[in-house]
Amino acid sequence: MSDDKKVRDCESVVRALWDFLDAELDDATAAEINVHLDACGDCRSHADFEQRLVDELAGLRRENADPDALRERVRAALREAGAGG
Amino acid sequence: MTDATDLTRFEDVALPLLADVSRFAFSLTRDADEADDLVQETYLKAFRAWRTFSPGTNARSWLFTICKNTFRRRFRREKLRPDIEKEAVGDDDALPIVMSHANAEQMGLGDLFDRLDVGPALERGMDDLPELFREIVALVDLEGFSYHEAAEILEVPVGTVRSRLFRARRRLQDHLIEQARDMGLGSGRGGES
Repeated sequence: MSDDKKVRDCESVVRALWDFLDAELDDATAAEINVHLDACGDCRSHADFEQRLVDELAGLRRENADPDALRERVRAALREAGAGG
Repeated sequence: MTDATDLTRFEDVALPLLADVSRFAFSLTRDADEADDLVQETYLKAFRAWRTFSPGTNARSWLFTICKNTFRRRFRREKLRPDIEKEAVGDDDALPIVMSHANAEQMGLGDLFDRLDVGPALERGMDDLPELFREIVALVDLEGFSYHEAAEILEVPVGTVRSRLFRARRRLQDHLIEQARDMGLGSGRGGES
């Protein structure tokens, strides 16, 4: 283990896994996690499992069925409020 | 007091964000009609507060904050949960994530994302989440806010965002595992988490 390159253990990687997947870590820490994940099948498997959840959750974004109608409704309400001061 | 110029400027800034606010409103209410009502009320409140908005700051976060506050005051169906409100904050919230995965593996469900119709199952999981958990999942996972941005919108420390988010995701994972097990997928015995 060199002085300038920390080797992370599995527990510290797991503790940082969500932050890593959410891109919340600084570059140096993320690089340490990547080094560990490249070498540790168990942690890589955990990371892949969690990443799938994050990917699937992003797919739940539901757009408004009638955005034009909502826009006009909001504009009308705003103009009524604006007219009232 | 606002005038016609204010209205024009407000619309120029706020209306392009209507789709984003609408998505967030639906995530909070889980009902299309209520979401539209929430969006309208959010925009009316935002317009009344327009002169407190600092140009150049994040209008999207500002509108989301108003939407969240409006939801809590007018639309919230649940009482605040003291067990969630006073949650401990710490890295320990991150540890149980591997327990869900380990549990899934033990039950032969390590590949559940490939075998389960995940989208509808997650929708049901979102329906069942406590509102404080649902709003953080909506902000970070659906809308892409950073922990820091979500903390500003929710007006809580970043540590609380992390704690709620990790616990919410754990619940959703456990929900998926339970759904898969109910469908007869997997094999073997799962341990209790």
